[in-house]
Order: sequence, then C-alpha cells, then structure tokens
Amino acid sequence: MKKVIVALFLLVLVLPCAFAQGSKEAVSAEVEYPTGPVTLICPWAAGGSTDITARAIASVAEARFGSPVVVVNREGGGSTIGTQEVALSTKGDGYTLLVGTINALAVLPHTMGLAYSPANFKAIGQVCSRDMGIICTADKPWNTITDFIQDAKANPGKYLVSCPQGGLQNILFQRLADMTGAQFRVYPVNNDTENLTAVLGGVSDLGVPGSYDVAAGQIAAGQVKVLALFSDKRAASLPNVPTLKELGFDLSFAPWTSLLVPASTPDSLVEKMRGVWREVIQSPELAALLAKNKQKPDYLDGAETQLTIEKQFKDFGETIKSMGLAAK
Amino acid sequence: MEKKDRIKLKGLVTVPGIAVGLAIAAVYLVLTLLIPSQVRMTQGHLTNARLYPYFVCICAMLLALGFALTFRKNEFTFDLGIWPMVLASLMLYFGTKTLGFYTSSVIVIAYMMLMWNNRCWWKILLTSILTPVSIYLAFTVGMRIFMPTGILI
Amino acid sequence: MASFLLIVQSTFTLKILLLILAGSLFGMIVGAIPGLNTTLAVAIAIPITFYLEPVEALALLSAVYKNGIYGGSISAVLLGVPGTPAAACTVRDGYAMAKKGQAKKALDAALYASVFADVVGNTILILTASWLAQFALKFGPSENTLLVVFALVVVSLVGSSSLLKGLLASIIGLSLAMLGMDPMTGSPRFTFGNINMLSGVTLIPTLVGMFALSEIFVEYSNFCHAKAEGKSVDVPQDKKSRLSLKEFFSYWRTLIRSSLIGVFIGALPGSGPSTASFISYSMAQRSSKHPEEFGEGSVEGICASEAANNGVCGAAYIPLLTLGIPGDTITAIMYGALVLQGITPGPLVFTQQGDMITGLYVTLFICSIFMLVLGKILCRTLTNVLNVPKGILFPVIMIICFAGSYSMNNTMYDVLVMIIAGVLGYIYKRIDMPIAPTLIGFILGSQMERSLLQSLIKSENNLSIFVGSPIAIAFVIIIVLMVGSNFWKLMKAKKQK
Repeated sequence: MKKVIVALFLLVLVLPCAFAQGSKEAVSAEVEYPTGPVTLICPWAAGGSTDITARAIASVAEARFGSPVVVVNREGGGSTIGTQEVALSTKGDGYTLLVGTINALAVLPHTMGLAYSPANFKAIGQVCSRDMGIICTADKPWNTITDFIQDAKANPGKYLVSCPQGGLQNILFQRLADMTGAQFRVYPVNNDTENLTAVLGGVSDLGVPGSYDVAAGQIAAGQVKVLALFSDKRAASLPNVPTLKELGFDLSFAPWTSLLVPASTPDSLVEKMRGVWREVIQSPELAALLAKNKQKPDYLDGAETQLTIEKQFKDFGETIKSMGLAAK
Repeated sequence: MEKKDRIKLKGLVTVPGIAVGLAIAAVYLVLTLLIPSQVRMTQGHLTNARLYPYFVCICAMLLALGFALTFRKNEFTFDLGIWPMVLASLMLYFGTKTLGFYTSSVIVIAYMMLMWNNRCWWKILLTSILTPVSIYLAFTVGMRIFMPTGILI
Repeated sequence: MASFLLIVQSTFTLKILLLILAGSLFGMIVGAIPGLNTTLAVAIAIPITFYLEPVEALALLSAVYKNGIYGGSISAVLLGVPGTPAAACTVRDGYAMAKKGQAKKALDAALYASVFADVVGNTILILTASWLAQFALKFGPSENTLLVVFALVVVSLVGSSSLLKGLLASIIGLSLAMLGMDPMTGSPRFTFGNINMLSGVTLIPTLVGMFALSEIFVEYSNFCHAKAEGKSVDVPQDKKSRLSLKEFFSYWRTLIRSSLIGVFIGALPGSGPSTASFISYSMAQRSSKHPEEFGEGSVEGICASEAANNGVCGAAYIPLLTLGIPGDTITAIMYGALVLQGITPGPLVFTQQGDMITGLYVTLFICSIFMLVLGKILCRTLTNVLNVPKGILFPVIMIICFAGSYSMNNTMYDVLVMIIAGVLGYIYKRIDMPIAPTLIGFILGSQMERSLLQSLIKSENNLSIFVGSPIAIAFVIIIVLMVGSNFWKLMKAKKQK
C-alpha cells in the first residue's frame, strides 16, 4: 500500500511539469517562432496606459500566434526595475520582450545613474507614440506659447509649470526655456492625473503632461486650451494648435512605446522576430485598439528604432548634464 | 511508550520595555547617520532632499526614547519557540529559488503540518498535494500568473 | 421618464447580468485571497472589455471593483489578514469575533455595511456629482498635506490607548515609506545599491506579512503552550451566529457617518479606501457608546470600516466622470477602459453620453444587489473554513500568502519583504504596538512628503500656505482640537490616579 502511495505522490509531482513553462532552447532562424508562450514585461503597474497598450499588443499577438502571450507587470523605480531586468538578462531566447518607453531608456539612466543603456537592448520595433502638448486653463491670458514665453521673460520665476521632475517633459520644457531665455519654476507631479488636477485647480499655471489627451474632456468643453505641441505635425483634432517646430524651435519629440529584447539575443533570432512582430504591430486590429487608447500607431522597424533610441540617449545625456541633473 | 512530542516549552525570552525602546531608537540613530551617504543631494532638487528623511528619523528616535521611558517597567515576552515556522518560511523562499515553487510547497506544507503535531500520513499527503494543485488552477490557469520554477517545478 | 425606463430595460439584458455575476464572483474571490488585490483583478478583466460595449465594459469592471473591496473583508474576518489594505480595520474586530466563534455574524456585518454604503455612494454620485467634483478640485497641496496629517493623528489613536505607541507606529510607517525612491526626483534613498530596493518596501507583501505571517507565528506559539497544558486551540464556529437586521440598523448613525466619510474621501482624487476606512473607524470609536468593545469584537467597528471603504467606490466615479480625473488606481484603470471604448470622461460626458451614464448608474445598483446575494451565499460556505483544524489551515495559508505576495510583481524580493514583515509583525504583537498606524503611515508616507514639498514649492517656502484657505484652516483647527482633547483627557486621567 505504501508503495502505491509513494508512486502516486511521484506521479502527481511530475504531472504539472507537463503544463508548467519548460525551459526554452535556443532558436535558430530556420525554426518556427514562436513555438511556446511569450512574455511581455511591462515595467508599469497594471492598468496604466503602457499596461493597456501591452495588453492590447498581447491580445492581438496571441490571436495571431496561437500560443499564449502574457503580460507580466514588473513595476518599480519609475519603470527602471523591469527595464533593467530585461537589459541585464542573459537568457536572450526571444520569448521575453520588454514594452519599453522613452523615459526608461533615454532619460532615467542619466538622472538615476543606472547600470544599463540602449547598448543592452536590441529593438524589435516601435509600436506607437503619443502627442505631448502644453496645456493651461482657458482663463489664462496666453493664446500661444510665444505669449507665455514673453510673459515669463518679463516676470522671471513667477510662473509654475507642472511636470514630473527630471522627466522627459521637464527636460524638454527646460530646453525651450534655455532657447528663449524665459525663466519659470517647476511644480513636481507624479503622473498625468496629478498634472491635470494641478492645472485645473489653479495650483500651476501651465502643465506639460505626457500626453495632452489627459485633458481631452476639458479641451472639448473649452475649459482647457493647448498652447503648443511637441510633435512633427499638427494634430487632426487640434487644427489650430501650432507645433513647436513650426514656431521655430527644434523640439520635436513623441514619447514612444517599443518592443525590445536583451542584447544577449542572437542577431539571427532578432531578425526573425522583427519580421514576425512587424505583422502584429502593423495589423489593423492593433491599430484600432491603439487608437482607442489614444496612442498613435507609429511603426518604425527594428533597426531604425535602435538608432532612434541611441540618438535620444546621447542627446538627453548632454542636456541632462548641462541642467545639472545627472547622477553623480 | 510515550510518543515523542515535538513541542518544546523553553524559549520564552523576557525583555524589559526600556531595552525595546532603546533598540528602536538605536535603529533610527543608525538610519540618521546613514542619511548623508544614502540620500544624494543633486543640483536639480527643488528643495532640500534630506529635509524630510532627517525629520522622520529624528522624530522616530525621540518617540522611541519616549517609549523607553514610559514603558521602562513593562516586560515583553517573545517566544523563540516559533523558530519552526520561521524556518518554514525561509525553506519556502530558498526552496522556491532552487527547486521551484510547487515542489517546495509540498515539502513545506508537510513540514508545517508535522510541526503542528499532525500524525495522519494521509491527511498530510492530501493537503500537501491538493494545495499546490489548487494554486496552480487558480493562479496559472485562471489568471495567467506563473509561479517561479527551479530545477523541478 | 419614458426614456429612463427604456434605458433600464436595455440594461437588464442577460449579457450584462451575466457579466456582473462573473465579475462579482471573480472580484470577491480575488479580493479574498491574501496578497492579490482588487487592482490586479480589474487589470485582468481589461482585455475582456476590448470586445464589449461601453455599458457592458463598465458593468463588468464596476462589479469586479466593488466586490473586490468587499472580498478583502472576507479574509480579514476569517484569516486575520486583510485581502485589500482597506480591510485592515475590519481585521481588528472581525478576526476577534471569528476567534470567539462568531465569524458568520462578523461577515454578515461586513456585507450589510458594504452594501449599505454602496447604495449611499451610488445615490450621492447620481445626485451631486459635479458639485462634489468642483469642491474636490479646491484641494491643493496644502489641503492634501493637512488631510494626511489629520489621518495620521486620528489613526494614531486606533488600537491602543497610548497615543505615544500610536504616534511611534505612525512614524515607523512613514519611515518605511521613505525607503526606495524620492517621490520628487526618483533618486534612490537607502537602497544600498540594490536595484530591487528602488521600489522600496512593497505594500501588499508588507500587509500580508505583518498580518498573516505574524499571526501564524503567534498561533503556533499559542498552540505549543496549549498543547503543553493539554488544551486545544480549535474553537468551533457557532452555527447559529448571525446578525439580525434590527441590530444592524441600530448602528444607523455610524453607518451613515462612515458612508459619508467614505464618499467624501473617495471624491478627492488620490485618496483611497484605506484612508477612508481608518478615519471612519477612529471616528466611530471616539463617538461610540461602547468604545472599549472596539478591537475586541465590535459589530459597530466592522460596520464603520466596511461602510467607509465601500462608500469610496461609488464616490471614486465622481472625479472620474465629471473631471476625467480618476479618484484612485482602480478608477484610473476604468478611465483607460473608457477611453478604449472611445468615451472621453470630462465635463461633456453628461450631455454627450448621458444615456451611457444613466446605464452606468443602473448597473451600479444591480452590482449592489448581486454583492448582497453572492456575499450571503459565499459566506455561508466559507465560514466552514474556520472549522478546519489549525494544523491544516495555517500551512495552507502560508502557501497562499507566499503565492499572493509573489504574484503582484512576479519577484521573489516581495516574498522576502513579506517574511521580514512577518517577523516585524510578530514583534509588534508581542509589544502590543498597533499595526494600523504603521500601515496608514506607510500608505500615506510618500503622499505626505510629496504634498508637503509641493506646498513649499507653491508658496516659495512660506508656511502660511497651510492656513491659506478655508479648508486648510478648518483642518488645522480640527487637528489642534483632537490632539488637545486627547491631552486634556490624559491630564484628567492622571489627576484622578
């Protein structure tokens, strides 16, 4: 009787192995990809905008691949913990991807003195980007950003601009200020929601949220106006708002979201992945979901994405040093 | 013949309140001294970055000293006999890292049940197998959350 | 009126009812598992909403949300560990009652109070949404700082007659929140170079550790001693234990006050169910006719805590719908889901999508009904969990806590945090320190620091900002009065000795 029990015991121990994630073998270009479950690491908490984008990508990819695509949240450190985990991973087997954002890859490594850089990654492709804009309440006297700049030059240090301290928006707005000689003070907020609350509540005079869409309801109701955009072209929904590029400032940035793998992934596999994931990223289903999430589908192929990230990393590095925000 | 009980009654440690208070104060003193090295002041900070940590640590130290003073006559007992449970949690932690979650949970459940003086082998077997299976069904199958694996599952 | 009936009719479709049922069950179960919280449950439900209509999506998410918050009280009563941080106050009285065999009564109290507050919250949402939202916007950084200070002071009195212990516990909570990243710049503090420490001490594993793991240690200790004396530690549950509606409604004052506190705090962007439930519990204790019962098994205490945390749910929709500003993390997720549906929450949503909003209101009430029914059924069966011998129950709980702590962030670091928190919780219980103030200090720590610094930046280091508005002045007065009355009571008691 005891032997039967021991045998059953061992059998039950072994059974779940059939279901649990087994180890992946290295895949060569001739072999099918993907053959098993794929993990998308999202370095933000569940429910945030990046997480929703990741889940949208996962659901479309799963439908196409036929094997499970799971989003795993690894939040912390302002998205650096999850990013670093993938950066330093030696298990480049192509089944773990990072849903990376501009802050974690180009800005934070400088301000926080982190152990990784774009060299630790190989880009699979850029998925989407958002439009950053400068907002203020409708009762403010400025109609474009040039009005504000003149006002700020005349009253240095009077105005409060809300944005996450040391983040992308802070650096860009500071660059704008440096170009024009305007001086303002930063009101630190943690995320777009706090930013909007500060602007609506009259605590800050201007806000630079990660995407101006956070105020979409107020913009439609005429309570908030957008003074300028940080993008290449004017937005379709805001035909009267100029871009900073038009106004003569060389500031065109769109916070992007991309798929990346650790540098330890073999190049042949990366090529294969770029082709496979391109179909997912450029699919109409994903475009529809992204549009709903107020993200612009903005595909760049892997090689170009890699170049963009490296260039931005270098650019921001210099600006951050000159602003005195670099980690010692 | 009396069955050997795994229960020990020794292990009660009595600590006077003043020692507890001073211990807490000491911890915060160390933290306060560590602030200059652990909290960086960079140019970009809008306010003094060390202001808040100093404030909190010093308040904590003062309150802990107050605690030591007010409760100096009280005596608090700690039961060191709980070591099997602490050991179980550490076994689960390290076991998961090496062997894998499901394997070590089987072992740890069996260990804990033995510590709680269960003598029914079939109860132990049933619980230690059914629990990981239920977790697998609820977490992995139900919510797509994968438990860590090691050499085994 | 005719169009309203039409909307009601269109909402009572089978699909929506099934979605609400599924969502309620899922939310309740996930909320009840220690280590998993409602945010995770809602996030998991999101991909399903991709393929649903707006009202259906909202119905599903609302069901998961409300039942998730309630589900936290199930494990609070049965296992002594809050399934969500908001249920931490419910643990005190709920678990005490369970130890006496009165678990079913405690669960009933939690359920009725949650449903009551749900209905109140929904009603206030419908009647006063935009007004309350505009009021909430008046809360600037100084008001937020004072709110946190108020919460800390009030909560320092929970769980222990000693203000000193309470304050020390709060400060310990604040110092735990200090580890990790500076909330302003993200630069590392006390991380000792370890990347995992960048996120600091994670909330849920600390919660699970301080409540559940420490309880396992304490119970084992009791078990060893009882065994030596030949006694048994298992207390059978009283099958007849239930809460009569008459007794429940006898606490109507506490219920209404707690629901209103919940609604008020829920309407403020950024504050959540835990703050509301702590404040409401403390206020209930202060104005109760039987304050000594609080902590030993007071039904009134459970009602106060649960009514507040469910009151927040209904109110959290207020800033979400009227301003497009989510009231807490879960409504932030709903915001994303709404946007995915092509709906823009904000000032115009009532005029442009009024039908959808009315449909939402109807589904909210349906959710409350489902919560009541499901809760009653679930609790009847779940109470039997407590009849399982402790020697089998606690090992299983340990594994569940472990799995739950790991699941939020998929990292063993969180599990280590849980174990250390368990030892810390054991020490707390042995020196009779209240855990609640540490918890709220921890939850509110970074918010306090942020609001404090924001206030100083806004006012350019001028402290008068803290008495700069009517709301701020009101808070300062209340805080001074509370601390003052406590000292006065202390002096009186000393004089009598």
